Amino acid sequence: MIKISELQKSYRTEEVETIALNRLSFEVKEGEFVSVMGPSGCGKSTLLNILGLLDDPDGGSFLFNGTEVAHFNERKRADLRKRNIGFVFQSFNLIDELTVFENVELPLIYLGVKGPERKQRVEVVLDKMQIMHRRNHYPQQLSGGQQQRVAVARAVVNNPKLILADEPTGNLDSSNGNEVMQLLTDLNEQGTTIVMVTHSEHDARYSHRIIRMLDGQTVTENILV
Amino acid sequence: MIKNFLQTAWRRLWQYRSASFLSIAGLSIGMTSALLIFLWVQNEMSYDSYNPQADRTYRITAYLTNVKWVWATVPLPTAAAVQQKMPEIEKTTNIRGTGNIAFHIGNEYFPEKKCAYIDSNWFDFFHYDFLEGNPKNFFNDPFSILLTESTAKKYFGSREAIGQAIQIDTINYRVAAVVKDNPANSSFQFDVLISLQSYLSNPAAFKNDATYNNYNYRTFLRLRPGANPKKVAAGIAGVFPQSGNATKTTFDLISLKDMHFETGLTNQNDIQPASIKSVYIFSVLGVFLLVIACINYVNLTTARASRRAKEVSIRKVIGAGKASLFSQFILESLLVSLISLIITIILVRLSLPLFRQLTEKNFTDPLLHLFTWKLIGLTLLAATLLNGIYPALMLASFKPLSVFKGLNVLKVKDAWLRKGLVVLQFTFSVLLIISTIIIQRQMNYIQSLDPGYSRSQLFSFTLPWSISKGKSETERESMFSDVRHELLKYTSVAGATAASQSIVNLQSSNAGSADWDGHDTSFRPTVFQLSADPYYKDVLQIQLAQGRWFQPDSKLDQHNFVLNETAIKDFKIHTPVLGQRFTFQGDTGQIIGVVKDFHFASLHKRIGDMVFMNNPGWRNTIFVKTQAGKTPQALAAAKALWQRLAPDKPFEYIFQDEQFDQLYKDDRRLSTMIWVFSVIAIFISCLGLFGLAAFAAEQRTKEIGIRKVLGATVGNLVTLLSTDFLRLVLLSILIASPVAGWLMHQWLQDFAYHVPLSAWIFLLAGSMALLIAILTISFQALKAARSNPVKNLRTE
Repeated sequence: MIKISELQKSYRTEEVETIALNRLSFEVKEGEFVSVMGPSGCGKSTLLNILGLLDDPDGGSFLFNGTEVAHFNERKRADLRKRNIGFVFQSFNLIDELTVFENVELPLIYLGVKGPERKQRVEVVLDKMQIMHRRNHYPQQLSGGQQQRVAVARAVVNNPKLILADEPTGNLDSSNGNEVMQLLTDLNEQGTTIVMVTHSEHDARYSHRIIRMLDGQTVTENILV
Repeated sequence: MIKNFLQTAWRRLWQYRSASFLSIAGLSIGMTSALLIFLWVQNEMSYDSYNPQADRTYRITAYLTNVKWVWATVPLPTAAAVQQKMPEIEKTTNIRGTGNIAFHIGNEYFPEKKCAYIDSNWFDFFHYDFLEGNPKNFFNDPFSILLTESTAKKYFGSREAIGQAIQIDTINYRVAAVVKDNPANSSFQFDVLISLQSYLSNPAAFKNDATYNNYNYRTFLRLRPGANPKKVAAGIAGVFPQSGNATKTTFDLISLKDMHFETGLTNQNDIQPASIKSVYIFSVLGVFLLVIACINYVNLTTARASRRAKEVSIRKVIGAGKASLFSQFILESLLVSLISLIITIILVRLSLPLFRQLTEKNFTDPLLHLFTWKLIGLTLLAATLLNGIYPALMLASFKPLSVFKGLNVLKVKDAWLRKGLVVLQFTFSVLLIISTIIIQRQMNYIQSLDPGYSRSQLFSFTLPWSISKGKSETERESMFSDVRHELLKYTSVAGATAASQSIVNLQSSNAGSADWDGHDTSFRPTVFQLSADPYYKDVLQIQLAQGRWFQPDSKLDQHNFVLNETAIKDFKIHTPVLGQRFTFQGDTGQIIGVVKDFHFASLHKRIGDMVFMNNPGWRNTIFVKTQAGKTPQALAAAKALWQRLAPDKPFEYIFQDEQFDQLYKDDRRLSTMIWVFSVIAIFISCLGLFGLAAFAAEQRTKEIGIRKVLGATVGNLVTLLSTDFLRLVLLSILIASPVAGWLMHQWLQDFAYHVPLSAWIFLLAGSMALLIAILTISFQALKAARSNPVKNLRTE
């Protein structure tokens, strides 16, 4: 599903050039659950930005389902993103002014799904995430675990092929964290490919494979299953 | 999707209530001001255009070139003659002023000033909404009278006006029509219209008017489509009988639509000419106010943009395109503009009575006019676009990268733009402050300048010509003398004098009749003329520069003249001036005195050449100086005298102070309007500054906390938070001062006498702007500086 080779990305400030990704190559197959680990500043977030089509690489190749997307323009990337990729963030990133229902509904609105179908699909997902009873609440009214479940619901409501998760349990206590990890595992079992950035060895153990990064390069790959 | 946008927008407005309040309040006040100003401007620009075929309607202007008079009137026969001779003319109509008349209803007399006689074509040219009666039947009876709705109500209350009898002089008229009050944009603000036939049925009046010598009629022509007004104008002189008359007259046509801004008429007492300059000034002011208000919204929105970065990033990550985000923000701006507009409509409604007073225009409910809605639509569009485009573009082009970091670290690099906009706002405000101060000073200067004569405690009344009709000059003189003596018997009367007209705004002028020894006859100056009796100088306290004033009982002095200093200089009268021959208005005598120059017109005009004569035949106005504190008694005395002289006419008088105030009515109105809108502009700018200062303080919460922990005092922090803004205000002062200086220099050019543009005005305006800004900012700065540092640091 994802094949990156020789991926390069560097950031320039006025005086310093920081290499974030240094000829990075790896592959993620459809249905895989991959964790990316490494110390702060090793390039994990940059990698996730590029995988999420939020940023372009300076060089190298990025094949998504066999299509070279490294140099897609903004519009094409947005289109590919909204149809194929769901995001789960450490800080949940729900829109404070929208209710649970409306937050989850948002990707479907941008996909142009009609109202009644939207309602039905959102309800199915909320039900699955066991958050239906909170549908009319605002994010601030929920616990961290509940917020992250809403975020996961939002990530999966358009049935993406790939979920990118950035430290999804970073802001949660262990029981809520485990719940979220279980949700992701369930999704993966139903066929969704997942790439997760994490600092937690515990969380990483839910995945099939761990890619360890240092200074913009992969140093090891551990296959867990 | 729209529902989602509106929901987010609405909830965000609610969540940040104070910022929303500042935006909406500023925008509503700005829009209200702009809307009112544009209503006024539209009214000014649309004068008389609502009449049928207004674009083919013209009025004849007469230029009496020898005497340099420009009149809006022509002789009665002109209309019929030009129509007969020139096929380009489709129709003509005449209107004649009635002069001051009085309605005699029951046993009471009511002076009516706004009356005119009209001929039977009048209603074909000018539109009236007839409430009762109709234009066709109106002229069936020559003694028909038409009243406006409010005049009918004034006289007859709820009774039906139609058929009611009104006596004017000795003639009985009958109310035959009632029309809606004149619209505010009509040049003809008459309350009463009377059939011209009734006036001309008086043989003496007809004899007087049926010649080509008396210019008493405003004549309107409707030209056929395609006719050339220049050609028609050139042909008008041809209908006048060729006579040996030395007065040469040429004619021109002025379009009905241009009439409102007509200037240069010699005697324009009845219609106050409007100033196209004021229209331009206020159009610009209207746009200013709208822009200032929109700047608040843009500034507050973009300042808070970093807060929205999260939402924008999430939306982008989830799949929102630029276009969708752009429309979201435009929609938000539309929502704010719409809310503001609803408030605006309410505010316009509430402030309309005040605005009517301010402009002295009788605006009808503007919400009933299509134009207003077009204007509202345009204002909404302008506000939405001005408010929406920049924030929308800026927010829509955020890169959502940092969203993964949990906290947004987007740096909004538009601070320079926001600063620029604050500078722009304050430049407008400072400009208005400077202009207001200068205009106010000029107004004070006008009011307090010694005009060179005394007008305090001085009222005048004009004796009807009827009582001096048929009297010889000696008889007239003795009549005035009797009136004077009669008045002086009262202790409340300090002095009395007779003259041909008021000194406050001398209108009567003549060119070509003055002659003196050494006069180059090609020099034909316009000379202002006033006939005054021997007591005039003392009552009016005019200062003599040399010689003497007219002496009582001197027959010889009736042919002598007193000139002002300017005339002596302009005419290059030989020295010694006193005793020089002077001929004026066909009378020859000597120059017996020279008065010091005094202002006999508004300060817009330079003091001109002026000649006092002592011919009693010209005089019909009595000026009464009252003893201090005894004005009511003096008025009662004058009234008692009047009732003996002219029992069938109402006693009408005017104080010279009042007449003086009339001179500057337009200037004062302009000054008040500028003042009001300046205050509004400054208020709106301050709302914006207040919001920005609050935001800046909020953004620097952590910095303030750290500085406090390290030992910064409240004073240090307030300075820290205020300096940035004050620098901007200073820059505004630097930009605004030269612009305001130039603009005000232009404005002052309209006055022949004006205040200087002193540097202290600019300093004062600058200090005021700074002070206002400091007060606005320091509230927020103090609040932030006094907050608990521990709490501040924890929030980070």
